Amino acid sequence: MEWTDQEAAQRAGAGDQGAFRLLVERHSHAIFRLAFRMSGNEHDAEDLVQETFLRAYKQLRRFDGRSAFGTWLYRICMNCSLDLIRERKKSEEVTPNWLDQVPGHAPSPERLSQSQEIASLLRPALEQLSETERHAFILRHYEGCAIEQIAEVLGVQAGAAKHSVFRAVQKLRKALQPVWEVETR
Amino acid sequence: MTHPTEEEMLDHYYAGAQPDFEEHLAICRECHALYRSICETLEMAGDTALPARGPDYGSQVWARVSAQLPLKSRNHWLVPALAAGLGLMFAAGMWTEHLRQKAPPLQVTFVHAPAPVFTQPLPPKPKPARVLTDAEQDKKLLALNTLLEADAKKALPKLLAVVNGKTSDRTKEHALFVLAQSDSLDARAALQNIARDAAKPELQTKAVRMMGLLGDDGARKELALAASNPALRREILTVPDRVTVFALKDAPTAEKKQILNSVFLAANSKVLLDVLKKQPDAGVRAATIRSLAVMGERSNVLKDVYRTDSDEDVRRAVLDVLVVQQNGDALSELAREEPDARRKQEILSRLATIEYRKIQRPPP
Repeated sequence: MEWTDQEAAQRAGAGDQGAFRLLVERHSHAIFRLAFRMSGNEHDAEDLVQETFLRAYKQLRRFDGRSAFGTWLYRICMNCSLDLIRERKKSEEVTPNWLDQVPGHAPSPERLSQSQEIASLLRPALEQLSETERHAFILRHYEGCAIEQIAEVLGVQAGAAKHSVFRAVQKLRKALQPVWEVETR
Repeated sequence: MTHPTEEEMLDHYYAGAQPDFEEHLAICRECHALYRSICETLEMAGDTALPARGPDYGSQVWARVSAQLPLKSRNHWLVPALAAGLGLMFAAGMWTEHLRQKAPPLQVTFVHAPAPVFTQPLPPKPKPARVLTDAEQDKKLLALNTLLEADAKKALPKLLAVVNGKTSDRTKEHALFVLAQSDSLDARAALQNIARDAAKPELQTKAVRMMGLLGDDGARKELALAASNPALRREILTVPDRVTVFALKDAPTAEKKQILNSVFLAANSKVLLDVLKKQPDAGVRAATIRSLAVMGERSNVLKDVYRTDSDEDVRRAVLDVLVVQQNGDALSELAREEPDARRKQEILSRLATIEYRKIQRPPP
């Protein structure tokens, strides 16, 4: 029998490990994707995936089913990655390297020649984003989340989530202006 | 249509086409340029190249996660067992006995009369309290285990009654085990109280053993406390694999050394050797070696440690111990085997500090 996420979460909360296994297997890919985008490397992403599910298991009784289980997991993953980033900042200055692979889809030859320039401009621009802006942008742009879902994950109002995405894009646009101005000439 | 804001343009980019918007862009060069700049920016941000994960990735994650899940869920098998146990107990009437005593049955007396005459209910006959067998106690404890999870306040007094009542040692131990398995803070506090209650030494000993099985922070602290009591220390050491070694796992170094000290005082070299094999903390291993040396552990084990342990501090601890033992044979043997010149020199310098009678001067 195929349980919905809500049913499986309810059973897992009552101690049914089989139900929790179903949830882990169902959401692992999505959580890895998000974890990789947040951390920028595979090793940290794997740690984040594991930590996310362990925290989720411990907090299952708090999951009230008002939001989708996937959204709830996204939120936990975000918190785990924030903890990781803060931990790193304490010990050393680490720049997220997830931009190393930007852009990733079918670039034109001209775009390829510009990729280093884009990365060199995009990286500092993304570093300048606030945590909320960066998370909102990742969820919107890479994960394709709706504004309401982003608001749930970040624990803010929908208007604030939307504005965070907007501010992030504005900052990126400003940073990349030299590149796209050259392209449009 | 009025000029769209940048936020509306962003919505359009992500959320899809709006005919009015498209029409406006076609006639307004200013908005067209702005929208194009937004699109260019977002396309440049592109998408991160994700490392591939196979279709069985979920199973791999589960394998890692399940290994770290709390112990509690291991008791899931208890549910059907408890259901059966409760059924049996209900059938036996064990749990309804007190109700029957409070509300005795209405006594009806038939006399030689045309109609029945109802009399006052008879006082219940005092029944001698039946002593439950161990098997019945086990079923009761299974039931209490479930009740403890659902409602600790109700279950705890019953459980403590079993612990403090006239039950067998085996049943008391089982009841303490149920307490130790519970997540309830009240249950944990009750177990700690028993572990600290020197007035009931037998129960205290059992409770300390259960704390050892837990292996978490609170339990470690209790073990450290218990280690200061010689009688309890002996108890800790009776089950080294399950208590001492488990208590050492992940414990802060200071606590590990405290527990090791208690092991040392109890002269249990078997436990120390076990710790030496399993303990990942080099500082603790070095401390163990020193304890072993004082207890008179001879060279074979120590030489093996020197040969197999890659940590320099541990190796030095072995050499120091051999010096203390004046064990020139072992030191010279290690010096002969040592391929590293620096380490060989270190061993020889130690060897020189003891009067080693067997050192033969090379022939002229």
